[in-house]
Amino acid sequence: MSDSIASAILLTLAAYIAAGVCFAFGFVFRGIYTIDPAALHAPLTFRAVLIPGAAVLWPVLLRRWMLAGKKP
Amino acid sequence: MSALPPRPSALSEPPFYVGYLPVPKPLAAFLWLAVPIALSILAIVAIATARSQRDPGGAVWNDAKAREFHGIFIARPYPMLLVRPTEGDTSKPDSLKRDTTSSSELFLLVEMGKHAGRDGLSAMDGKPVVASGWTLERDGRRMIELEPDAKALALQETSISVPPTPVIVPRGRVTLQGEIVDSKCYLGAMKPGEGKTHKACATLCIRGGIPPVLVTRDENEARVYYLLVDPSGGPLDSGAWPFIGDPVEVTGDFELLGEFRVLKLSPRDISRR
Amino acid sequence: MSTGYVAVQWSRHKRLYDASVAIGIAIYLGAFVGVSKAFWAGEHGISDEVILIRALGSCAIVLLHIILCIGPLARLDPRFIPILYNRRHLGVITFLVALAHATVAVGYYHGFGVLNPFRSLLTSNTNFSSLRAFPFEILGLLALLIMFLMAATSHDFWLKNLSASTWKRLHMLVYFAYGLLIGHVALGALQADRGSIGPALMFSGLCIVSGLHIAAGLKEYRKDRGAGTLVVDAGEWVDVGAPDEIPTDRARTVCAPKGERIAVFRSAGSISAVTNICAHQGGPIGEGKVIDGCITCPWHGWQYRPQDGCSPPPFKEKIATYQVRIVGGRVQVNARPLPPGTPTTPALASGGLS
Repeated sequence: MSDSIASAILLTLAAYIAAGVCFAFGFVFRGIYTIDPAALHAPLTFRAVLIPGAAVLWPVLLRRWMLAGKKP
Repeated sequence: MSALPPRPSALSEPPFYVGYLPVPKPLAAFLWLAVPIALSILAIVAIATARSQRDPGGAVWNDAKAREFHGIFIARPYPMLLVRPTEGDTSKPDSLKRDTTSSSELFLLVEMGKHAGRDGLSAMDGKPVVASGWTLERDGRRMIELEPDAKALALQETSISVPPTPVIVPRGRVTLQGEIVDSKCYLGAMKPGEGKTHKACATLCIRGGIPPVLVTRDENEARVYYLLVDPSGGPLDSGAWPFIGDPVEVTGDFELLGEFRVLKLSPRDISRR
Repeated sequence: MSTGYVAVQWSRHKRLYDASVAIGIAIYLGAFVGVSKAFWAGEHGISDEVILIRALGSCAIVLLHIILCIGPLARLDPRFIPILYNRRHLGVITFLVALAHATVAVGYYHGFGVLNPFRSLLTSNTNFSSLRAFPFEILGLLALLIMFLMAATSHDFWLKNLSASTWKRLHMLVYFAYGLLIGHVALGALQADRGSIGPALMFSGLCIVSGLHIAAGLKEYRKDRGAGTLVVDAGEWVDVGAPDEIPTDRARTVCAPKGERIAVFRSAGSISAVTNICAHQGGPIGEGKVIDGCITCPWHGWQYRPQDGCSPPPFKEKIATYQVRIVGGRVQVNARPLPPGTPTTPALASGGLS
């Protein structure tokens, strides 16, 4: 692997994770209610446990959030 | 609650476990047996795995106290210090005493971390200097890790007794088998500082300027070191990097630089065994 | 079962479980470091960081073997089910141990240099075409990513919101991660070590894991073949046996012609049938028991009412139900599943008792 490819991979990954971490915080405090009402009164620790997963799987959650938001 | 009378077979059925209910007695007894057995197996595997590690070889990193060395600085192919053999040699353990009749000792000079070389070295080439740092040593071969301070390597104003300059003696073309390692880790910075798991680290070290060394074995299985340089006498070509840490066979021009075995090597003359 | 979420539904059992795992890891790391320090001292000492890397890495591999053995062990002997119950915690802890191994290894071998450690990790070795020189680090990194995904999605929230089948598929990647780790160890530590104990341990681990899986698979296969699949009425109804052949508050599992398993329970004098697959993690409901009038899954204790496959309020889970009838003193179940949560009329078992 050349240096430039390695740099590109690492930059992309860093951008993806950075976007994911930002999304994750928004998701566990807002979006989560849209896709799963059972999370309404969940404690902070529960939200913290979701952040790593949400930071990585954010495209899946974002899609679900958007789709759920469109429903009447 | 049940309309059916309990059948005798129901009494002998296996205990049913539900995580949020109390554990049935027979099951608890089973777990009190199974868990300690599992823990003992863990301990046995840990001991067996730890015992299966190989001896990394005798090498010392004297990183507790820095010492000063006076000598002649040599800039090429790698930063080195030529020192009279008696110079500050009292700390040397007997087991590492060099079996050499050479009248001077050559130390490779490296920096902290995986680096070697600093600013202004070429101006010092061939001049008396004082170097302060920590020694690493293995098989009688020593290296100095310079202190991070800029004054750790400085020109010496007062005159010193100049050690005899090593003579380059060409010894012809040779084919050798061994492993290319970075001299710093191998001489004691990391133990073990060789092999597959250390391959990436050795590559990073050599990339950072740490002198590469070919470690071979003689007929008595004793380790023999060859400092690797490119055919023009400069630092080893980066084309050799992919072979670092692998078992290799190399062909190059062998020279003696004082007590140092130097091998002039082109990347195309390296092959994996 | 999900009503309101919490981070961890702690119970005494889970605390004991996690404490045992912590003790196990402490014993492993302590023994490894102690032996390494005792046998290789002074000039021949192994670097502390290397000892730590090896201790953490081998500990994670051993824990992964345990994780992989728990499933088949629980199928072979239900007494292992309590160890299965909290397997997720073991998985998360294993990931953390592996992460510690990776952190120390990347910092030590790829740090302190002229390159960013992650760039060094990707560029220091690119001999992908040579087995002898293969960059084994990449295999470990991929396995670590899989273990991260599994650990990060281990909460029931993900099980529900990624859908059970996606979640299950994601977590089946553990076998892929295991394969990657065998490569990581074989092309890394074992290649560098050239000893015989390491390969022997690794090979025995592989044999134990695959042996247990094969044994558990064979047991299930035999059970399916043994389960009455006598089909009557144009393939619609499957014979289960006489009512009293089903133990009280337990089930008999039969195989429908298409292969799906149906759990037929007898409790409180009536017989009803539900799918054998729990809505939670696909646990074998047919190996469960009726407790307080509810079918209880043996894996994590999720409950469903026999008559309609619904979890008792406030829970909302549903599983598929099946119609049952008694013809000529034999219980028969309709092979066609009803939508999850469909109420059925239980057959009265008393007619079959004499």
